Amino acid sequence: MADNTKKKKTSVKAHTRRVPVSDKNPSGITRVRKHDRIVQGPRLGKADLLLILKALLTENFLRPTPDNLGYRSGTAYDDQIGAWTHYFNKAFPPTPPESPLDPDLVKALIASESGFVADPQKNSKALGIAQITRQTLKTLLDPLGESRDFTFKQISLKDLKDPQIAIPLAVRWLFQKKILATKRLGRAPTTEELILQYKGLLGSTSDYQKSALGNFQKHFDRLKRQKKADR
Amino acid sequence: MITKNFLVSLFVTLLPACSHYKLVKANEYWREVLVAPNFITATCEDVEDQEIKKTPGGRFGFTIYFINERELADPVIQGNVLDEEDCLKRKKAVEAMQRRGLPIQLRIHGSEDDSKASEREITFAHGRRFRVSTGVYQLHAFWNDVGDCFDSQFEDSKPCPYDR
Repeated sequence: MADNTKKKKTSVKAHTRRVPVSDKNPSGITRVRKHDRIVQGPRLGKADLLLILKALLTENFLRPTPDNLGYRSGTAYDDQIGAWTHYFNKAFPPTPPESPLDPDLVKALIASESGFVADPQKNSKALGIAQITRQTLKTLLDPLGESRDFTFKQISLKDLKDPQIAIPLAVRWLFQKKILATKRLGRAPTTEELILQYKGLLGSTSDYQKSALGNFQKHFDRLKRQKKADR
Repeated sequence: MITKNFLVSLFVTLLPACSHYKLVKANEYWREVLVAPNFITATCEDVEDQEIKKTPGGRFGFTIYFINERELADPVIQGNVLDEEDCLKRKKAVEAMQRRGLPIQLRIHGSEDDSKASEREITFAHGRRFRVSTGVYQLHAFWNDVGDCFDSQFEDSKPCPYDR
């Protein structure tokens, strides 16, 4: 499988930093010159994603349940969802007794976010099939930010309209949300808590939060029932 | 002054309850319903997580409630959280269609009819309150017979409603 895990450098712009007040720095502010920083983890660009996907599709992995959930494109992305869930489950292996991320969870999430609409033309705030926001993209591209252990590069907002780019970013973001939810809760999140964390609703006390979770669960339960029936 | 809207509202209010709602079509995943304009309301609810940094533009959940044949308010949500501008855009689109005085057709994902009344109530036009159902539905689009249409993802772009 193609991978890009060699240590790379990134350039940090000159910036100011707060330091303890001293004779040398009576203002408590010092200036840090532009310098290089080692990038902690893999950093994938568009071409990397397409190459990795091509290789992944030759492997055995668990795909989501092949139910279209009532959407014309409901099964169109099953291979990509399965492939990237498999990839990131290997990149971020679960700590037992936790289970790996379920591709049906990813599929149900996408159904609830966009109804599998890859390019909702008028929405410029959250883009693509997984409704990734500008802020989320910025975080995923930042080699020094909260998701620095696995980031992406040279991906624009416009690229998110391509499911081949949006899906791996969404799955990676789910893993980041799992880390954040674990820190917040002091334990591994349940499926429902993970979805609420992804939607930014974990701490919300709104009526909408309950409906949004119910909407996801409806899709997820359908996939699980169908999987059971298919056996 | 007696307006067209007043007459439509009076007509709908005085008729037997089920006249405000009609199931147009349905399959195992979704359905289309036709609802009298005063039996619909739309909300933009602030869903900001108080424990995390405030998002520029805010975070809002858009929900349309309509009164079904059992006199319960079915909640139909936009599946993704919106900023305030996009949420209000949708709310205003509903209100604009309501002002036409014509029935509004909704296409929604979720066709289960075993929902019950929850403890929650919501107020509609003329101060009428209805119990909210336990149903969970996702909005595709809403439109009327004179060409007004709003899709949950494609907004007022044509074709509307967008065929998913």
